[in-house]
Amino acid sequence: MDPIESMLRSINPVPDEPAGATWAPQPLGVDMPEVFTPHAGCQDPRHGYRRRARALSTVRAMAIGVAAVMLIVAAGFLGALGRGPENPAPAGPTPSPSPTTLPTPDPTPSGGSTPAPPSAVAPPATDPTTGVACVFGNVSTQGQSGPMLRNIETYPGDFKVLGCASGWLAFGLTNGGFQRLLDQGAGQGSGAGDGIPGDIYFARFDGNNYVVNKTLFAPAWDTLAAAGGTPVATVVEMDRQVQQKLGVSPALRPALVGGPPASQAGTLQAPPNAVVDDPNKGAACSMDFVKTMDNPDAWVVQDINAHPENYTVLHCAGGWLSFKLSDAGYRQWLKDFQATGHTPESSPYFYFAKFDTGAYEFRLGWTVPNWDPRPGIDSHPEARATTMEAEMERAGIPGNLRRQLVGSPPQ
Amino acid sequence: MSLSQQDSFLALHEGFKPRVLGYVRRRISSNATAEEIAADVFRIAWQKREAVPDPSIGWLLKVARNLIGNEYRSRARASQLQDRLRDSERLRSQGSADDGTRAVIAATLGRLRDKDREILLLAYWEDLTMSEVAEVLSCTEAAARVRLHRARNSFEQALPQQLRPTGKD
Repeated sequence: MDPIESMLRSINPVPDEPAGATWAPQPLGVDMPEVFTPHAGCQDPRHGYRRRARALSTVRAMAIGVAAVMLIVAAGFLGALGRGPENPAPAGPTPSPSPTTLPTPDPTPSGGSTPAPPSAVAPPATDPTTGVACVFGNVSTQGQSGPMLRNIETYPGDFKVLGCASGWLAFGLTNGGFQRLLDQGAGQGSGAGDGIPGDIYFARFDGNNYVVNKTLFAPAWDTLAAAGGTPVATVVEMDRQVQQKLGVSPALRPALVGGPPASQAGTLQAPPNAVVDDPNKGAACSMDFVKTMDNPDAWVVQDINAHPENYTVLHCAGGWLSFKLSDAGYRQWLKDFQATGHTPESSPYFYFAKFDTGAYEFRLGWTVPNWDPRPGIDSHPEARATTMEAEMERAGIPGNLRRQLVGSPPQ
Repeated sequence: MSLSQQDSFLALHEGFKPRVLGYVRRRISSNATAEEIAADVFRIAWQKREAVPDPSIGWLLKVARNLIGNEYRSRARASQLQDRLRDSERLRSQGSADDGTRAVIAATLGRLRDKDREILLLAYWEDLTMSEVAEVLSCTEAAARVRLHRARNSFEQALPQQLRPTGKD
């Protein structure tokens, strides 16, 4: 390896990426494949290290790939067994979670008498509504019958708490817990009582404990994703499940059941509207996925929520969505302002919403005056563009996205 | 959709995900964003499976490069790369006997033109062959070789004199 190559390799921030492993931050600097020496002996890069590394990584990737595919197929098969024929067929690739999202197998032997260890996922310490610790030890079945319910009492380590909110506790079944159910002859897929890995179950606080409601469950994230929706639609559907089944505000959904695995939808289901250079991770560039985050009393927030049809999306780029009042919306806005005795804004604005966990979030302040001429602003297109970028930056919106989000000033 | 199509896609994902993710993580300081972009690469590969039934690592990295996008050449992404290099050098220097040489190398790399830096990283961080580099950069293999040669010269010239392998100005 020549010195230039050696130097450059020595500062590779991610020297190696284990094939098929669940991602975790790597301790940089402790596992470097080579140590920089300014005058190390040269080695033809087409031979030696490079070729060996490539061969090793290929073999390793193939071996782990085959193992992972077998895992996926097995998981899908077990899932299909558990769910029975009434489950919808996936619209895209196999709905099983990708290897990066597969839960780590429980280290304890399945079917044994030792309960599986509790999940490593850390739920909130307490439910803000009840003040009770959000732990599976506070879950009770109150004598209800059913294979999974029986195991809740006997093998609490087979379950993991997902979160708590508004007097509800959400929990799931570990892979080991599911295997135990299979070994016990259950898990043939007849509803919430049997237990399906990934499905989400709920317990309601009764003043003392969280009591399992055996009639309630929500489909697993990967089931929703496989139903053909975009990532955003998957989140929206989970919000709907939570709201409809529990009567809980979708705003509490993250605290209760969390969000979808980061790479799940992207790897398993191709959103229909994604394009190659789509920087918004497949999210629909639509007002349907804009939500307001603060100041519910602010007029613009109320108006966006009440009349999204009055707003027009300009573009999406870099995780941001830009939108504006449509002409009709502006006229309606003026009318409303006049009706309420308020003075309308003197100049329409561009509005911006930032993509986060499945939706574009609009916050007050993420507005910038549009291209309309303004006193004191240089009318030269280049100067106007520079002004726009500066105003975007001041508002907290990346100015370098100006061209993509709001275009160029009209000539 | 046939089972073999699914299988081949899964095999593609399993075989190349680490390299794609590594490529993105070397350029994006946010791990979550890197994961999302890597996932997007395979989503696009799935979308394009009819037109590109057997994508190469070069094709996948080209998609990743497009996703990182023009912004990679913009201030924000360039800044992210600088942060990435600085962070990694800071961490590396902890507990190691490095005398700051790596930080100097990283800073030198950061000062190069984007096109020079990119081809150096493709060749030496991603371990791509010249034909794969050419595919990522959408140029001929011969052009890629020329670019790499020039980028190496630029890098060497940008190094402090005491680090230059040839010891020349």
